[in-house]
Parts: sequence; C-alpha cells; structure tokens
Amino acid sequence: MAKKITVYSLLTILALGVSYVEGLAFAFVPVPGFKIGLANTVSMFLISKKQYWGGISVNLIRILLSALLFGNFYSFVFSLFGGILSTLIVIALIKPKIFSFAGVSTAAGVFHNVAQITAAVILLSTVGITSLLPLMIATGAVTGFISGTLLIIFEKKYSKILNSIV
Amino acid sequence: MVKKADIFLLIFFLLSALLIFSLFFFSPKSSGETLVINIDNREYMRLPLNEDTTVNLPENTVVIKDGKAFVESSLCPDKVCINQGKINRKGETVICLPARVVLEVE
Repeated sequence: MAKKITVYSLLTILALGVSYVEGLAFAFVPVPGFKIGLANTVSMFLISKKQYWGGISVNLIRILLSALLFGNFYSFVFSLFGGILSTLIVIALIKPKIFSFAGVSTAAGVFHNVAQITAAVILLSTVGITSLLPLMIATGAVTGFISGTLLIIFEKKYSKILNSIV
Repeated sequence: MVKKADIFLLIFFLLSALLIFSLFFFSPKSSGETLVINIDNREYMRLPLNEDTTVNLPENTVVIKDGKAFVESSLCPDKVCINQGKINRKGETVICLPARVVLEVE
C-alpha cells in the first residue's frame, strides 16, 4: 500500500509537470488549449497494467492540481469532462487488445476533445462552437496517435524500470 | 508495436473529421442580419450588421464593418477571439472564453 501511494504520487507529479511544460511548449499553436496529451499516457500505462483505480486517480488528481495551480473554473470543467471520458475510453479499449497504445490513445484523444466541446456547449449555452468539431476530432486523433506511439517507444526502452515500479 | 488496427482507427477519425467539415462547409448558410452579443450567458446587446459601429465591452472591442463583425482587441491573454476572424453568416460565432463573451449572428 505504501509503495502504491508513493508510486501514484510520483506519477501524478510527473503527469502534472508534463502537462504544464506541454502547455508552454505548444502555446504557439492557434488551437485553444492545444496539447498532445502526454500527461494522459501516465494513466494509460497504469490502466494497461490493470491498475484501473490508479490510472483514474492519477488523472483526476492531476486535473484538480493543474486547475488549482495554473487554471480557473472553466479550464477545470473542460479538463474534467475530457479527462473522465478519455479515461473511460482507455479502460474500454485496452482490454480487448485490438489496438495498441497508439490506437487506444487515438480514440481517447478524439473523445477527450469531443467531451470538451460538449462542455463548452453546456457552459456557454451556444451550439455555434460545434463548428470546431472537425478540427478538434482531427487534432485529437493525430495528437493521441503521437502520444500513444511515444508511450510504446518509452515502454520498450524502459520496460525494466517501469515493470519494477508497478 | 503500432498495429494495423491503430492506423485504420486514425484514418477513420481523420476521414470523419473531413466528412463533418465538408457537411458544415457546403451546407447553405444565409448571411445574417443581427449580431447578438452575450456576456455571461445573458444577452447584452443586439446590433444590425449593416451599420458600421464599434462597441467597447469590459474586456473586448467589437467592430462591425462592411456587414461583418469581429473582435478588434481584447485584454485576454490568448487572443483566440481575435484570431477567430470575421463573421457574417447565420449561426457563426466568435467566443472569448476568459471574458465569457459570445458573439453570434442571427
């Protein structure tokens, strides 16, 4: 138990740092809040090791901390909608082993963005923002594919260390 | 390893994005007559699009010129609202999330 708490805490902080740096690194992209979603690969990795609650809690605590430290109420609600739906998609798609991390992450990226648009429609009570849908689906798919592929490479390279911590 | 199924999924999503985009793009949209400015989900102002004017909101400056409305300047950090460009067709919107301002053509 103590080991799990330590590992999850470290992974949460890792995800938090990654998501912050990513936000800075991609600030030049003219899509609001553009990120490739590297932080979510942390929780995807845990879920792939059947640590479902670990994956979920790492993601939720990261979103909460990120909003408290760097965000506002709106960014919190957007991230929360996206985070919950994409984590559920990861859990649903990783078990059947049809897709690798790349495919799972592609779907997660798409549904993350779709959830955010849904949140925007509800919060702002305007349907006009749905015109962003095609752009958000495309960027969600591509960024999800990239971050999933990076996790595949990373897991291969550091499999010993990774397997020893979970 | 990246599997074939992953690539198919990626292509599937990109094609559906393209399909939805073309549906939006080719659907006939008539140009609107009125610009509705909402702040905090409440209607703040209605302006006819055929009159050139400039409106100063708390955080944004909205301009109507040649039948098109756009955000000219904004105090928000990311300037997404300015980059969303000019709108004049029914249903088009410009949104400034930090200021909770929504411009919509009706």
